[in-house]
Amino acid sequence: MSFLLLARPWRWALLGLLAVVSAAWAAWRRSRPRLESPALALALGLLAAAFASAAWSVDPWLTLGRGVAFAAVLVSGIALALACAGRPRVVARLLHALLAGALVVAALSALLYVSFPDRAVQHADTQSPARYMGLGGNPNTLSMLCAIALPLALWALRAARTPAGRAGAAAAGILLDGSIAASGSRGAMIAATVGLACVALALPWERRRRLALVGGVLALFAVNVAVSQIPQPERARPRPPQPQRVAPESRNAESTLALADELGGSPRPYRRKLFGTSGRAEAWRGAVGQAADRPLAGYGFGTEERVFVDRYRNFLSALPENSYLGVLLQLGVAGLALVVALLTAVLVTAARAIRMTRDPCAAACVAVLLAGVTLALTQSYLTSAGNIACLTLWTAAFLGTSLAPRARPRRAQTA
Amino acid sequence: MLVVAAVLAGLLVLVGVGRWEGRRHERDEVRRIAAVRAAIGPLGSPMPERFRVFATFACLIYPRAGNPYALEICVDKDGRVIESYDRRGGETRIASVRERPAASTVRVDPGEVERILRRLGAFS
Repeated sequence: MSFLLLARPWRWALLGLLAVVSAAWAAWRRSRPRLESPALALALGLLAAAFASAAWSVDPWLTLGRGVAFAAVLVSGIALALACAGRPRVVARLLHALLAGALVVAALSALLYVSFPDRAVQHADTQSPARYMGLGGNPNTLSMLCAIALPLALWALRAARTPAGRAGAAAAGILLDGSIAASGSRGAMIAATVGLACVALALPWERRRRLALVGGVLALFAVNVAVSQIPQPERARPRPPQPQRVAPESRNAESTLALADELGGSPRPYRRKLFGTSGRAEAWRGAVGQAADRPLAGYGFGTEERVFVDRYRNFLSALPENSYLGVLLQLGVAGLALVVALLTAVLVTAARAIRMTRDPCAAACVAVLLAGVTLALTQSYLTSAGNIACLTLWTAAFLGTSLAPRARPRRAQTA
Repeated sequence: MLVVAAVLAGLLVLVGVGRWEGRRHERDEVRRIAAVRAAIGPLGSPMPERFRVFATFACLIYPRAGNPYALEICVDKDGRVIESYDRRGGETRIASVRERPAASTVRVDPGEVERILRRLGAFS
């Protein structure tokens, strides 16, 4: 039985529990939401649009259910940020908790690989090499979480005060990065590099160490790419000579022209390449075409998987594998504008925290956010509450806003 | 209060736009499905040459002008035609309401579809 099937029902209950506990903590801390905060207002606006979209959704109940789940993610992040406002030590503990969560998943995945290698690896075929997937449903799942969490490991290395702490953070970094490299997930490699580079540039290191770190991050990226190129796809075995008789042609068109291969791509056998898009370019073009049919408001929140149909020869996913296109399908230009504005508002607020407080936690939060928005270019997950990386991203993002100093009330001008 | 009123007004406009876009899109797709359905004529005469069977729908494929995959309609269990493919002229034109089958007003007899599928050997 799949481990994922065992764990799936728990995630919604645990997500709901997290939202309730976070909100209760914020209430206990008597944290009053500042509605004038752009990030908070935009988050509420996005949720309002998500729920309103049930009115035009192709599946209103699905939209409401996914809306509730995504609301739990945003409420958790916002409530934690409110409860931690101006308390960098608490933010640091929560960031350590996010890193620990990712490490538990990565460590269990490694354990699964040791115990049941067949279940932790997507086997090689003539198109793709063998790829490590651990507990994930496919090679891109675990690596998404690792890419988001890897900047936190570098931050934890900088924050550690004891040799044991530094060794632990370094081991965490190796585990997370090793998981990404073994998965061969190129989007995760790029996202992790962006996040690590952000930590290297934003933390208060000495100039020489900072340059060395940036160089090290780029070298690590090159090593990851090189490692991912070691496994090779299986070679197509030459077929034994067939007897000279004509087999009756099947009337089942799926064996000759499958609907999933209807559009795009070369009819030649596909092979995964370092600089290829794995069929994404065709799928993205198709998703844009579908979005153009309902450009302003989309098909309804949470319906991305229902609406997107994989008709593309070299593409293999039920989602367009781009979060921005996914939002465009779900909520149209209006929703995409809200998501981009929310991400920008969170980023600007957290960057202000770095500038004004020099707090390393703020740099870590911005790094996670930048890794997340980069990852969103090649994975559909930003608004999918059930996705492995969604909660970590939004929690870190909102925690970053909690470190920004509050604007002082304007005093009356006196002549 | 002004901000709340503005947000509510914005949401109302969005709901109106969303519903209008949805109706317009579905009407357009159904019109194109109906055109393919009309081009096929009677489902069993002449018989389709190929088929597909999925969990929630099945497709019948008709040849035209030497193209064995020229026209295709996909029908759900209630007889609603939810998708069509027109491959005449070298380019595939797809019309679909697969995301909301209830939107389709183009119907065929599901019993006849099943009989045709049986004759094509879909269940053997």
